[in-house]
Amino acid sequence: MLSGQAEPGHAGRLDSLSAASLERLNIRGRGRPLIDESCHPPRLTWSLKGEAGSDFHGSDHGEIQEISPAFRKFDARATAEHGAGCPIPDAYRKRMKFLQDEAAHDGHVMNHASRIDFERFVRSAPDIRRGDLVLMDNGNLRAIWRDGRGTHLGLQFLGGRMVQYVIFKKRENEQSISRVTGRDSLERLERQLDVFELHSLLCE
Amino acid sequence: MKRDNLPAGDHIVRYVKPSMIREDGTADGSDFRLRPARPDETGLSVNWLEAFQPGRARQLSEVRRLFRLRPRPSGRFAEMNVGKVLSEVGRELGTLRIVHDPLEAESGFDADPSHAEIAGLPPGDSDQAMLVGDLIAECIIDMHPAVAGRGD
Repeated sequence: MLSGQAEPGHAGRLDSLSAASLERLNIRGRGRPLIDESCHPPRLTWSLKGEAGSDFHGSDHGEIQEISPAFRKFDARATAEHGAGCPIPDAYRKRMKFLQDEAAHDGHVMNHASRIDFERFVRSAPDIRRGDLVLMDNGNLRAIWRDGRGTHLGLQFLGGRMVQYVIFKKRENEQSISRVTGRDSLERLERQLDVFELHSLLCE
Repeated sequence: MKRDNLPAGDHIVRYVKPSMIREDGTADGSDFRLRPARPDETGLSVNWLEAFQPGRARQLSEVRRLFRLRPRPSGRFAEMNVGKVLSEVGRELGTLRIVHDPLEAESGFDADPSHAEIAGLPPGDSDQAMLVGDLIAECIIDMHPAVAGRGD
């Protein structure tokens, strides 16, 4: 959607930027950033919506909901260089180190975008329980929460704020278990958690 | 005979590498799916324990001896009952089979009469593959060290 409506290099809404990038670049307010990758390091410019002399003629109509690949690349690099602004939660630090070592041994690389999304997710609420964490052979992190009674939530962090979920839900007074799988954005995952009443599995 | 279904009462093991083993010692379902990077794969490699003389310790010893990968010391063999996998996973995936696929001797490796495959799985990068993988993982009845002397 974004790449089809915006000019080349357009990166999406400012609120798509990671907190780390916004803070580091001293960006405030709503606007539209532009990435110039012709220079090194890449240069990010922006203007506020409706500002006279904006560089973004004609780009302020239409709702931009996605982040362009160009911006993802920039954001991943910026985050890699400066951190996500939210270090690995202590509860996962040792496990993450183990998985990184295993990845190196197997000749894989942990997908940085997957790791960033995982960190975003576990920090999105203060009371998220610690899940089991594994590293898939595609480099993505997968976290699993189970209650021992048949209910199970597995999230593969795909990067780009997307997750693949597997839900097994055993409802009270029901013999059968509902099983669903799919992909959704981190933001919209909340709907699945609501529908399957998984908040008590996920949170303290 | 090659590609025959394994008996439902028998057991199989699959090697699970350390990064796919959860901290509680169980295997994650993501290991039980075809690898997207290997489109030529027809199934998941497993070893049929009853291909060897009875006695679990002896069967596992033979599996380790003939195993063609180099297992990690903290890797594990996940044991499953053939019939349970077929009945539990078959509800979601009618194409599932567990078939004998013995390996002939080649380039320094002895023949492996225990090699078998979990076949009929969905493409490894599909959402269904992950769900099926989690279902298979729920059928695990035991985890054994992949390297002898590691707590077995």
